[in-house]
Amino acid sequence: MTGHLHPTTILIDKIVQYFRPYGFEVYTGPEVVSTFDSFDALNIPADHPARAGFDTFYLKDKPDSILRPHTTAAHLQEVLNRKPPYRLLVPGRNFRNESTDATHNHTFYQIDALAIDTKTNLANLIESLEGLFRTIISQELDFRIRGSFFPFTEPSIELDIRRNGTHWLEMLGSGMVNPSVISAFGLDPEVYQGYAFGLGIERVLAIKCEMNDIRGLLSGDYRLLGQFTAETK
Amino acid sequence: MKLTLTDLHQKISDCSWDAQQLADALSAIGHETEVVNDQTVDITLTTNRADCKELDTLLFDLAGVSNLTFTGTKPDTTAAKTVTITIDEVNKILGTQLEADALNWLTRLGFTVKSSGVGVPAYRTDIAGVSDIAEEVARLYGFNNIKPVELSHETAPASDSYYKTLSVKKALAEAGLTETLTYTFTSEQNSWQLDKPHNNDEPYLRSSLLYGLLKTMAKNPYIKRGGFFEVGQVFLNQELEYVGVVIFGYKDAGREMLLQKAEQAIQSTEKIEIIQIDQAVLDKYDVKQSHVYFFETATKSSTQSTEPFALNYDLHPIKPISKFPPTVRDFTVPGITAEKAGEITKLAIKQFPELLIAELVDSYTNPQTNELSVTFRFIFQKMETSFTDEEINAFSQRLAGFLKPYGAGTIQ
Repeated sequence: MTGHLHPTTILIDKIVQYFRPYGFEVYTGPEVVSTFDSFDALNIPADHPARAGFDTFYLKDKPDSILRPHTTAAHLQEVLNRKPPYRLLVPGRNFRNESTDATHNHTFYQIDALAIDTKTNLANLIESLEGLFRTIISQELDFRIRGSFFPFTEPSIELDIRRNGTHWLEMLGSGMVNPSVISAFGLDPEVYQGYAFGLGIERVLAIKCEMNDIRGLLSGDYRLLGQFTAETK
Repeated sequence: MKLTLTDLHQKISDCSWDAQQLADALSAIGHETEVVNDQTVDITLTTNRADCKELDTLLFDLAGVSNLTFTGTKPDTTAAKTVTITIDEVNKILGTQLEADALNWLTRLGFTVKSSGVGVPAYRTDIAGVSDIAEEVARLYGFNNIKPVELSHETAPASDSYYKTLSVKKALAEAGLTETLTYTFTSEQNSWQLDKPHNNDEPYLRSSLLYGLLKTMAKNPYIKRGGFFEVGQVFLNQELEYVGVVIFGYKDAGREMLLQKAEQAIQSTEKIEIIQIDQAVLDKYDVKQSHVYFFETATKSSTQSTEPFALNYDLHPIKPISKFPPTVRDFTVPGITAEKAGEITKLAIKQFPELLIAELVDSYTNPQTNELSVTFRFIFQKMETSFTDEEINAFSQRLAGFLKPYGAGTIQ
């Protein structure tokens, strides 16, 4: 009988396989997290405008408990028990209480990467991202990097890709881990540094699988799910 | 805020950009832009640069980064604080090999550069420390000029829980089940409740994977028999990762065999309780299939392998899905070889554009003759309308004709 894996599972594994030779470990954290792990530890205090932008789902009768709005929230509890160097990948489901359309859903997947040591730098981040997209999307890609702002990274960049000279597509935000976040990890920011990025799985699938509505991924429609079968080589 | 080319050319004298070039230049330094017309660009400032609400400040910054001549009114560049920094520290963060005089580029943005450090102009309240200065140098150097450098290769530590879960998924798919991912939110009561749900009818977090699996079945009423599974978080007295399996449409021996395969795929140390889903529950979820059986268990109870491996699945462009219902037909081909059976599905998809999915759903080897019979499922659709009965019959005959040379008996 022919069985099928979900394209989300397949893509996450392709990303894991890409980073494995570089020593990245994979772990998955809980989906219900604290506001401290999600925001305060990541340099987003209660009065920060970025906090409102996450459209967070709060739980009733569980003060300070939220559905994680990003997989970065899983980092804090995990890294507090670790000593650098470490390289981590966190794939998983996230939630934001926002309107849904063909390119947005309130439930979505991300894979987060974190590499901390004394030397990992922005040039390493750029190579990691370009290598990843060449491997999982196409060898024939142009890249464009733009400056950006995220509370948890400094410097912060966004990376765009372009295929066959067509229009640029925004792929993800990333950057060097902000020194205040390094401190929240229990490390000395004058010694340790590293990079972090959060990649939207649906965005990559929409491009790679030429899907025009990402909501189909959680619809359970067999006409979509049945199109992904193990390769017989 | 809106910026016109007239403003731009007035305040940056040696700039000849058109609206698109202006939008690209602002976008490169973090602002969101949209070209309104050939004279105007709409700008949403990046969150940390509220100072750029002043048009002169925005253009001063843009001119500095672009190494152009600013002729407007400069913001307050009085040094408000000093950050002690060397070019080595900048290079360590950026992964560059810039010479010491690269710090002097900062003067284009109103910074003062001395041997003791960098004076931060009063208008730049967003600059706090070394990493902020490194970012300014990167903006001036050009992020796109930073040469990518590969990370060192290292041995990856074990990732036991990831690979255990992936092993379970792979084994269930090999047993013939299809993975689905469904929403966490449900109408089924649970102590885990959202304060402000996205949909007021579904305010709870799921306490079981059953509800999503039933919704998946309801979404696919034309799949009369098969199996779905999901791996995801459930919220009981604590949050746990579960694997849930639903098998439907099979009677007795077929069902037992598939349930057994699913159990073997999971290899749980816990006793698995298989339940038949009541008709009332199926009706509630608008499930049209019959003989529906379900079980779920925590993935941590699985003894599946935690050894690293890579899936042999490919990602590819999907065939578009029609908004009209598909038609499903199963064909059993006797006397076929296993090798040929594997080729048929790929050939059929290539040959018939109407086919969305062609797959093997069952096989049987006659113990007396050792003859193999294989059942294929074909799902076909039309984008612009539904098939008529006549069209279904005609297409079915074409499929039977396609299959005939591969078998040694009558196709059913």
